[in-house]
Amino acid sequence: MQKNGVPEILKNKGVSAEVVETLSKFKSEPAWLTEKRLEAWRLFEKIPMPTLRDEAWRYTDISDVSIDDFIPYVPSPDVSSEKELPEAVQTLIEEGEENSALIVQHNSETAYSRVDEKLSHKGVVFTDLHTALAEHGDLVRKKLFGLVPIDYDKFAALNAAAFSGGSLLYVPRGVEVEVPIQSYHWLDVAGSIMPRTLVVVEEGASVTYIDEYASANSEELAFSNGAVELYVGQGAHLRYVSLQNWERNVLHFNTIRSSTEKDSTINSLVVALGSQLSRTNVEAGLVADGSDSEMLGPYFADSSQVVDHHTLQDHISPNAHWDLLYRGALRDESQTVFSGLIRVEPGAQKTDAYQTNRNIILGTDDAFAVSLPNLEIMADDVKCSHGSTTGQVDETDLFYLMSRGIPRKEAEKLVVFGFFGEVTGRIPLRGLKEKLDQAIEGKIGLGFEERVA
Amino acid sequence: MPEDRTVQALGLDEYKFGFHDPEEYFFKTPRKGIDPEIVAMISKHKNEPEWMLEFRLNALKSFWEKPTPQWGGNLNELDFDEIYYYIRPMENQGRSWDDVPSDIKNTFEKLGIPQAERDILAGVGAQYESEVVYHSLKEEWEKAGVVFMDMDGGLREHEDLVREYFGTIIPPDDNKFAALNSAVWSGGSFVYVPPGVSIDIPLQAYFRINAENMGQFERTLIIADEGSYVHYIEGCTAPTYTTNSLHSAVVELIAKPNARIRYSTIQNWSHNTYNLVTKRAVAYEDATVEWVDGNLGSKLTMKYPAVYLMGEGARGEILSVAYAGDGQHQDAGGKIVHAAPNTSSLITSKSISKGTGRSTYRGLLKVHEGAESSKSRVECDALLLDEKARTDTYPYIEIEEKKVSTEHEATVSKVGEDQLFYLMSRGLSEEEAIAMVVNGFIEPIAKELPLEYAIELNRLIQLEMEGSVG
Repeated sequence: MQKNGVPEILKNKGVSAEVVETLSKFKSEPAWLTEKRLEAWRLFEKIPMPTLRDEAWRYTDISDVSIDDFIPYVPSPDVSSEKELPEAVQTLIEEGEENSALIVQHNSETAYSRVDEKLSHKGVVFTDLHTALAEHGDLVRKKLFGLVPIDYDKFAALNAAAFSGGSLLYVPRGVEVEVPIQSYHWLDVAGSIMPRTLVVVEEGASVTYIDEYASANSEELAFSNGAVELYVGQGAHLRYVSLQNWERNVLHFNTIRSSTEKDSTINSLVVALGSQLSRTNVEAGLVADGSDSEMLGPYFADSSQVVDHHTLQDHISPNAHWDLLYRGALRDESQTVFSGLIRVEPGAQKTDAYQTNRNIILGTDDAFAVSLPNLEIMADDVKCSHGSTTGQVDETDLFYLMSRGIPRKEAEKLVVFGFFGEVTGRIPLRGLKEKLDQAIEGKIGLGFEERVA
Repeated sequence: MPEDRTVQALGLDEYKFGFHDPEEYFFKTPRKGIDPEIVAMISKHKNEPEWMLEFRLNALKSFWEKPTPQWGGNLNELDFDEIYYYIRPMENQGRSWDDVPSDIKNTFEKLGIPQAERDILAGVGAQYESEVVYHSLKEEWEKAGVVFMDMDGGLREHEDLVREYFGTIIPPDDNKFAALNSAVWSGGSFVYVPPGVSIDIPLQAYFRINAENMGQFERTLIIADEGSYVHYIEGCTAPTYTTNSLHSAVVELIAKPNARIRYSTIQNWSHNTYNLVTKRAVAYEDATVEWVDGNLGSKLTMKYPAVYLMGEGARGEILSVAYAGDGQHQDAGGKIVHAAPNTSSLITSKSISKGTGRSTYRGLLKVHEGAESSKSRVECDALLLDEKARTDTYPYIEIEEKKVSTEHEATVSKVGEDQLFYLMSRGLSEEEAIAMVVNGFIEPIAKELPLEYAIELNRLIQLEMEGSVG
């Protein structure tokens, strides 16, 4: 939580070993974490910045991005009730999904958190990472960096070295959390934010967790670099949502990785609407028999936005079922990249895996859609398929609607809604769905009508 | 293991065409490896014009500048210094079949090719070692103005045409292996089909590698003038040797307005050959280019035939079939670039992986801005026959235009239990049943091949399949 006397060095732009060490000391962290952060920093310095020559970055140019342009740590005031939070955040909460627990990370720090008593009684832990380090040190030490290791890539190394705020959700064995748990990330300065989400769902437990990212409009560039680790125990069920709706001044980097144990289920929904550049890695390893996974990803890029998703469905154990559906719309001069990989490791027999990516290009010739649905299959008794399509709004669909008396503009909206409906229809969260629908409508309404021939 | 016994009994553990004739060279570079001196020697030996020497030397620079690709297959064992870059077996081109030297004829006979089929196969450009030594061309084609000769002859006799098009579709600096080929190329075919001429019987070039550590760098250029049609067939097979050899060809096709080119290949290099080939075509207004590409042999193949659709209404089609047995990696696929409106394309890929074999589909589908109303479809099916077999699909899809329709689909499966059960209930053995399912799987491609090739493909796969049920 917020402390007075932020060391001077954290107020200046750029990160260094000294910054990392000072931050760790300032947060009164145990020695192992300070060491880990410094190790991560050394890695960050060693790993070259990705360029278009790197396969994983061949379409997304980040040559302009430099961590030296951002203040590494921006504190925020602690508040004791939701009413003291910035008004915009209150609106987000009001319009969001009903929740049983809530954390608000304001800039680099957790400003507010609340957990329903009922959950606390059942042993559910939901707190910022620094509090978790003090109160549940062993659990954090065991799990942190387990799924997004410090050497995963340059951005993961940076997050490990300089993260602050962040959250831990722990759901003990057999506990079913019916009402979703919500985490808001709010940014209203031109600094950097490096959140880290750690979710541990024990055997037979179930929970829905929502990470939402939003910011105040600003001319100045800001930088968000997150890491999300999701552990799903035997027979457990986790629904994880990442809703990225930053203003256009933000550069968004995020890596979401999960592991599942026997007979567990994970549903992920990764939404990309905002930011000027959004790069998200969503990776899951099905490491035990009989797990079930769904990955959904609606995205909508307008103006000069770049939205880049990399997904990995790694089948390590047999009998797993996997379904991936990423659907995106593009307009104006935007660019989207979907790069997905189904990997079936040797021995992962009876795998059943699907991967679908669909893009629609709305009224523009300046957009650029890239789709790379990859397969690597190293076991023979499997069913795997993937599909990818890119096209414009279907004229016959439009004709049908218009023949029923619906004006063309309305008809186009309906078709786009229908396009996303295939994804949003699979989300059982009403508040979230409404939020999404509104955002999609807003994006279509940005003047798309005028541009349609 | 019963499986091993069967394989040995059939002699399949050794490469089928693994015999070789005593090596007899007319000219061979004095040392292995490549440098400007070697390149100049090749060019001088061929009495080439100055511009070709320059072309070669510039290409050599590109070859040295470019790093060995780290994607695709494993090229780490490939040693460019251990290769002879030019060998020419005989002095003169054979005028007729009778003039072909008997040991070369022997090799062809063991392969069971042209003698029996000579009448059907109208033009045979048989490439032995690095040079085309035998050519026959039907008289009526000559009358119609069709040119079908080896590339060196093409350069001598049609220098203007060659100079205009050579290296324009695949520039020397396109990739490391195209650069290497451009520096040391030798042999290959040069085909020119005049406007409106349609050649009904396919042109064929059959060639093989026959020297240890010898690379074969043939270069083919086919120009189909307006409204013409040609079907060119290339097939190859090579004897087995213990050290790795390299085959790195460059094939350029130009289909002018309304022309149609079909280019069929079945590649059956011995299992120690690196087969690294660049094939690319351009299709202008309403032209059609079809690649039919079968990959059965080699240790590693990296080959992605491409069609650039440059004119309105152009069409590109790529049919690819790959078979990867033990230790083989077939990294094949196709590239289609839509650069004009109303263009259409279809890529169909079928691959079979058996034993420790790995087959990879790697493709690019690109639609440029302005290529409106383009339609494209990619279909990849992979069949896995063993637990250790591997298949990959890497389709790159890049769309810059809204008024398009692109579709990509891929499926991976094993031979279905229910299919086997059905066939076996009709009295087929499990082995026969699997072979039948596999043949059915590749049928869409086999039926696009000329009869003798389709039979060869089916037979080869059947042979490979025998003894596969252990």
